[in-house]
Amino acid sequence: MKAGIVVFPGTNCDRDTKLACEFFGWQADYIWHDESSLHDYDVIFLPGGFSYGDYVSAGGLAKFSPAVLALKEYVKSKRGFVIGICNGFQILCEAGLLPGALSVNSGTRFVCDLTGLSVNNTKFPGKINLPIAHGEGRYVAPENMMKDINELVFVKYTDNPNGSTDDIAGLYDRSNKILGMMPHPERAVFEETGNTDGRYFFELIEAELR
Amino acid sequence: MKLAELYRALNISDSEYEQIKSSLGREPNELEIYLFSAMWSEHCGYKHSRKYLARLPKEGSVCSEENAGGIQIGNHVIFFKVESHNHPSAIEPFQGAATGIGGIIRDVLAVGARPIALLDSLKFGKLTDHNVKHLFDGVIRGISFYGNCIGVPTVAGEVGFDDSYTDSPLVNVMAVGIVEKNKIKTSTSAPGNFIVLTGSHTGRDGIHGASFASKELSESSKEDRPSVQVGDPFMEKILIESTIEILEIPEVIGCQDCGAAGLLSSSSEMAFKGNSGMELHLDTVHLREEGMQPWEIMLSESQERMVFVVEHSGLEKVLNVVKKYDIPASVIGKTTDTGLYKLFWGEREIASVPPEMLAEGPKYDLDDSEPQYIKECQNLKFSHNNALSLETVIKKMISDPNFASKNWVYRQYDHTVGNRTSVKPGVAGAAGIWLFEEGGVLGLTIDSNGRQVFLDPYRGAENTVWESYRNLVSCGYTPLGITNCLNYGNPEKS
Amino acid sequence: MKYMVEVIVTLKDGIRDPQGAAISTVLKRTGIEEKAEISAGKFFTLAISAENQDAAKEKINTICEDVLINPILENYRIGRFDQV
Repeated sequence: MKAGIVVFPGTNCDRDTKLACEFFGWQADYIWHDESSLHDYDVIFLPGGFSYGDYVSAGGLAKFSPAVLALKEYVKSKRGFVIGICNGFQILCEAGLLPGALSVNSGTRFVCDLTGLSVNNTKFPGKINLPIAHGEGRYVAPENMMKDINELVFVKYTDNPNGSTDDIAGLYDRSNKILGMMPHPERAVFEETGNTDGRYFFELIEAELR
Repeated sequence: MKLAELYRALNISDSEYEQIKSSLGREPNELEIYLFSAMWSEHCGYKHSRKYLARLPKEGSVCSEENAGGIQIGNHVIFFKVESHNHPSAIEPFQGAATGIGGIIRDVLAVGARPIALLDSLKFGKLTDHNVKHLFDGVIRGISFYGNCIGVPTVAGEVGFDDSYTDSPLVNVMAVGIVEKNKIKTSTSAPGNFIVLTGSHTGRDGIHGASFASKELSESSKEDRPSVQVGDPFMEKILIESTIEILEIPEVIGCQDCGAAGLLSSSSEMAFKGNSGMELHLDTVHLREEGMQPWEIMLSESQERMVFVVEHSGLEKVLNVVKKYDIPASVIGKTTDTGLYKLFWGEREIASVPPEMLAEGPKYDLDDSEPQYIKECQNLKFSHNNALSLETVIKKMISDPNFASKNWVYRQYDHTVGNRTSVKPGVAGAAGIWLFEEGGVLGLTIDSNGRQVFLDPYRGAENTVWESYRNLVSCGYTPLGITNCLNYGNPEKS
Repeated sequence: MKYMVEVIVTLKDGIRDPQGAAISTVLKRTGIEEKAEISAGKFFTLAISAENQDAAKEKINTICEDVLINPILENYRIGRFDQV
C-alpha cells in the first residue's frame, strides 16, 4: 500500500499522518505541493494544518497548487482514494472536489477537543471519538444542495462543536473515491495518545483498495 | 545631534560611554552608539542579572551557553527554554503573545531542534476589569493563533489573576524541542565563511520611532512609526522546516535566530563565540521598507528571521533549500580574520567594533538590601472570620478564577497536533509528550507563585522549584532538568 | 435620521501584512501577476441613526475607533456616507 501525503507551505499534520500510515505498514511519501505526478500512489492524503497560513480563507490559496490540480486527474482516472483531513477537507471544498464549504466555527474560536461521532458504515461502532482542532470547521452549503449532500454524508458530530449544518463532520463525493472530514483520525491511532478510534478509518481505506 | 545627547537619549550612562571610549581607543560614531545602546541594554545585555544567573547549577545539561539548554535522553537531546514577552503584550496583547511564541520557538530551532511542545504561564489582573478582559482575551487568542498555525501543541500552562498584574500582565512562554545529539548546531562561527539571512523582509518593527533620536536621523518619518511587532506564523512554519533542512547541511557551521536587537545581536554573538571578525553589507539585507537607515536595519526586531554561517562550498546547497521553500533570503556578509565586527554600506565602512565589546557588556551588582515592605508583610496579623461556614468558604474559593478550570483557555490551543500528546492539559499536574524516537513519555510542567516570591523571595523561589518537582513526581516522572524565567521590575529604579 | 456608511479599515504604514504577502506569493507562483502589491484590509457597512450629519459623523468615528479598528495597527476611512 503506497500513500502519498501532499505537503503545502503551512501544512503541519504531514508527519503525524506519515507516522499513522507506517503503523499500518504502508509506505508513505511526502508529495511537495509543486509536484503533479500522483499516479504512483494508492491513496492520497491532504493532511491538516494551515496551508498558506489560512490567509484569505482556509484552503483558498492552496487550491492553486499543481498537486491539487493533479488531484482532479487522479480522481477522474479512478487511480485510488483521496482523503482530506481538516485543512485537507477545506482544500477539497475550495477546489470544488467536494460540495459545500467550511466556515468559521459558530463560537468564533478555535476548538481543540475529543468529540463524539457517528459514522455511516457498519464496520464502525455506533459511536466513536476523535480529536478535533479547528477554527473554521463549520460545514455550510446552499439550501438547494443539502438534499443531495445528505446522501454523501459519512461522519456526523453527536454533539455539534462548531455549528455545522446537519452536524456534518465529513462526507464523500459522488464517486465514493474522495472523503473529506474535519476530525483527525491520524491523531487516534497510537495507544500512547490515548485513543485509537482513528484506526477504523485507515482500515476502511485498506478495505476500499483491496 | 551631539554624541552626548544621542547616547544619553539612548540610555547609555556617562560611565558606560567612558568605558566604550576607552575600550575603542576613540569616540564611537553615531551608528556604533546605536549598537551599544541595544547590546548593553538590560533587555539584551542582562547587565543587572548576568552575575547572579551565572550562579545557577548547570551540571548535566547539554549546551548551557546557547539560546536554549538541553538534557540528553538516549541518542537525542531535549532542548527547552522559557521567555517573557510582557511589555509587548500589555500594549497589543494578541501580537505581543503571538510574537512571544514566535521568539521562543526560534530559540530551540536555532540549535537544530524541532519544536514539539509549548507551555505558557500567564498572569492578569482581576477579570472584573474591562481592560484586563481585553488583555486576557487577546493573549489567549494570540498564543492560539501562532502556536496552532505552526503546528506545535500547547500542552500545559497556568493562568493566574491578581490586582498586581492589572497594568502589567505577565506572558511567559516555554518551548521544547528535540534533536539528535550529533545534529546539534551552535551559534558559533569561523573566519572565511558566508553569512546568510533567511526569513521575513526586515522592516522597522520593534523600533521605537517616537524617540527623539530617531526623528533626527531617519529620512522618511511620516507618522510616528508603530513599534509593534506583527507575527506571521505561516512564515515561521516555513522557517522551521527550511531551517531544520539547512542545518542538516554539514557546511553550515553556525546558526542563530534574530530576537531582541535582531540582526545585531545574532550576528555579533556569532562573531564573538567563533572568535571571528565579521563584515555585514547592510545594503544587501532584504528589506520590506524603503529608505531604512543602517541603525534601523541592525536594530529591527522584524520577526521570523534566522542567520547562518556557511562555508563557501555549502552556499549553493543552502540556497537550494531557500528556493525549495520560496523563503526570502540574502547573503549579507562574511566572517573574517580581522577580529573586528564591521558594518558596510556598499564599499563604505560605517562601523567597526570588537565583537566582544558588544557581546560582553557591563555587569552590575544589584543592591540586595532587604526592602522595607518585607518586614511589614511579616508583621501583618490576620484574624480568622469564624462566622463564615465551611460551605461558604469553599464556595468562595472555588469561584475564584485562580481555582477555576482553565478549559476555556486550553480548548483554544491545539494540544494534540504532533501525535505525541499522551497526557493532555487539565488531566494531571504535568503534561506528557510521547518521545517515539526513544520510547517513553516526557513530563512537562510550568509553575510559579508570585505571592510567595513577593513575601519571601528565597523561600518563594525554593517552593516554586518544589512545586514543579512535585507536579512531575506525582505523575510518575523522574525530574531531569529545570529552566526559569524571572520577571522583575526595572533594576535601574530604586 | 438614518445613515448608511461604509468603512474601510487598512493597516497603518509600516505595519507588516502577512496576508498580503501570502497572496502575492500565490499570484506570482501561478503566473497571474509577477509583482503583485497586495494589502489586505477589512470592509464594514453600517446603518446608524443620528440627529444630523455631524452627529452621525461623530458616532461613526466612535464606532470605528472603539470597536472596529485596533488603533495600534490600523487606520480607517469612510467610504459611502448617505442619508437614507
